[in-house]
Amino acid sequence: MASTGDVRRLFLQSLLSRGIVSEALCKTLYAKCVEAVKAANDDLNIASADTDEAFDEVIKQLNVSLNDLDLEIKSTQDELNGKRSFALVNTKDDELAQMATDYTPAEIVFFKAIVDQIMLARNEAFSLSSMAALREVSNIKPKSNMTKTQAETVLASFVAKGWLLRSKRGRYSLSTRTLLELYPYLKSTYGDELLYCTICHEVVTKGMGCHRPNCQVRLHFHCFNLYRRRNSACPTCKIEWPRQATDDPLTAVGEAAVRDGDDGKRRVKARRTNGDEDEDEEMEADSSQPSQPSQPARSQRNKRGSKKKAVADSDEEEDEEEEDEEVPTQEDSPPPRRRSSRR
Amino acid sequence: MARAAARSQRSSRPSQSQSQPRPSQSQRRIDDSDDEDMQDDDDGDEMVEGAGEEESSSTAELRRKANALVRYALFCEHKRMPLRREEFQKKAMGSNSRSFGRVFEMAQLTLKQTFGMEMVELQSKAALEKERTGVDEEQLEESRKATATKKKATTAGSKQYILRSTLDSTIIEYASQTIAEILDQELEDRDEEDENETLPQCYGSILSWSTADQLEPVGILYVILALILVSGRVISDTELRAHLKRLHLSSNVDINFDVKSTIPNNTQSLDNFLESLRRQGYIDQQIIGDAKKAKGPGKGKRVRSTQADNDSGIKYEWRWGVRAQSEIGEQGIAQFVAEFMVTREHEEDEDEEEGGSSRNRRRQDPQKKVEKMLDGIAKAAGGELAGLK
Repeated sequence: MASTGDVRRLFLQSLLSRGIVSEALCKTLYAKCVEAVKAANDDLNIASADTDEAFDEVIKQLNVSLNDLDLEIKSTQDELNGKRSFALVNTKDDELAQMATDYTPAEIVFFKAIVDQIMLARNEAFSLSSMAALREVSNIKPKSNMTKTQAETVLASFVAKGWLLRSKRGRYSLSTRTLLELYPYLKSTYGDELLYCTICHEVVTKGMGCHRPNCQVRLHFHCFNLYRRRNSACPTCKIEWPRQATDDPLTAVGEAAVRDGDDGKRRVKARRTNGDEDEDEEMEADSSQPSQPSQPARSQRNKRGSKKKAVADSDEEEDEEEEDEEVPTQEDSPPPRRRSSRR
Repeated sequence: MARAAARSQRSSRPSQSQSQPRPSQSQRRIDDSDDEDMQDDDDGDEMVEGAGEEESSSTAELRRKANALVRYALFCEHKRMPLRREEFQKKAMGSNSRSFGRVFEMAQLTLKQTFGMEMVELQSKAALEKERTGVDEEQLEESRKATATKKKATTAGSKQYILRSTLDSTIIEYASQTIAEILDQELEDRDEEDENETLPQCYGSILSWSTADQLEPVGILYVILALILVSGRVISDTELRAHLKRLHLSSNVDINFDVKSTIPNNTQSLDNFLESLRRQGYIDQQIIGDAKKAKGPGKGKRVRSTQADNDSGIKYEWRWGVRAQSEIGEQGIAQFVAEFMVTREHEEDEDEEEGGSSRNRRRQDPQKKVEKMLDGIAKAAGGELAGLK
């Protein structure tokens, strides 16, 4: 016999079947779960959650019951449209959780490699061209026998399941779901690369930056719009801002920050064991284990100054072209072997 | 929506079959919100009194393990792989594996209360075999009892579990239907997403089968199960392939998975598809006349029934696998077939209003038609249709 508790059970099952849902859909689903249970048992007197407060309370209560299971319904704002989205996420990265995916170990390594390149993209671009993404297949350690064709299939699956976004230009970036669900991983692995929005304090991978060279302000587009309505200057350095987040001279975070040729070069996180702090290491290729940097390298922020000028200029899918060798900035790590441009 | 309705059988009607191996204590306690205090009222034989084990057997410890088991069960189900007790014990139980029974009970309760799901033990190959070969009812009865009794079940069971919904079947049915408001919202959300047109279609149901599953392969699986069922629960490989061929599924035709899958090119040949269904435990393949050498999931060598095999003189036959018995059930498939046929007929009726010549055109209560069809299917199967195991 149906009981009141079935509403939240059905609601959780619904979330489990979907991955990530917009706030509007989430609320509709809950309302329909109530109706479904009422349809099964007329006598039940179930409160609907029409108000924001009531809905928040529902989520809160569900999270109480999920807490011991290290699961949580989390929400965040979509970086592209500013809408709130909800997902049931796993908050603990234990051995059992390794199984929580239907991807094979090789596919997961590939995914991590893609995330790595997205996180380490130059100029705060936080995105990766499709060609560069396919190239990552050959960088996977241990060597996998995944073909490029297969890699395309796998990438499409990542997109279809909401782990990656693919833009009109064909560039991959992190999805809301990944930001929500893999935030602990991102934070522990790329703590220094992650940028946070000055307004909402959530991670920004698509948005704008203040154009003053040393100013750290980064905002989501929706946060910018909200802020800009009442203010005309940067909240920190007070420099005047133009009206639109995409106007010059503001800088871009995300795809718009890509410059010609950036994609040709692969960045690899340095595996540093000593504590020296200075410049960044960008070496060409051949790093071992791009997917598991042991130590966070230091901040991208330090170098932000120079990179900032990277005003987004166009790049069409360049990719294949043979790019120039990047000058290894310093300490010669093992002779930079070129490989990325070969095929 | 016939398919969706049938699909819901995977999870519906936990209560209908009497030959349930499932322990009933979960039922008993389902509405008990206070589980913590009730842990000790059964499985008393496993209560550990030794002081040395005190720590590991404390309630908190058990609860922690039970929560781990809940997580593990959810993760396994996500992959459509059965939860293996042994694997869980190895990963999470540590030294004290004796308390598994209580951990299981606690986990079962949490699954029910929080998610409306339960772990169901798959039949062991042996039990299934017994049921098949056991000609006389008595023997059959005995094997049923064997699985029904909890103590024996643990010795005879497969120690593999799947998750099944415990929600009321009316709720599941409601949750599988298109609801305009949900569909509108889904489409609106999708519009805003980038131009990804390859995403699986959305249907506006509360439970979103299209994003959680591969609909085309599931549809084909159900057809295969139906074919086996109406052929008297067993079908020769040649026969099955002949049927499938008529549905334009010859050995050289690819089965399409949607973009979520990572199968190369998102297609699979019929042979590989059958093999993967066998491995997942949905169907079972045997060499004809050699029932003992049945290949269950994970057991025995992989024998592919390709055309070549058939040429070499070895003959195969297909039956339902353990997972199909527990996830979908004969009655579920029969319902799916009957509703599908009747709905189709109905639609045709309405299309050809001028008709009336055909003997089938007699207007009949569709519900009655479905029941008649169900009877027919049971006859074709060679006996009463089984509920969920």
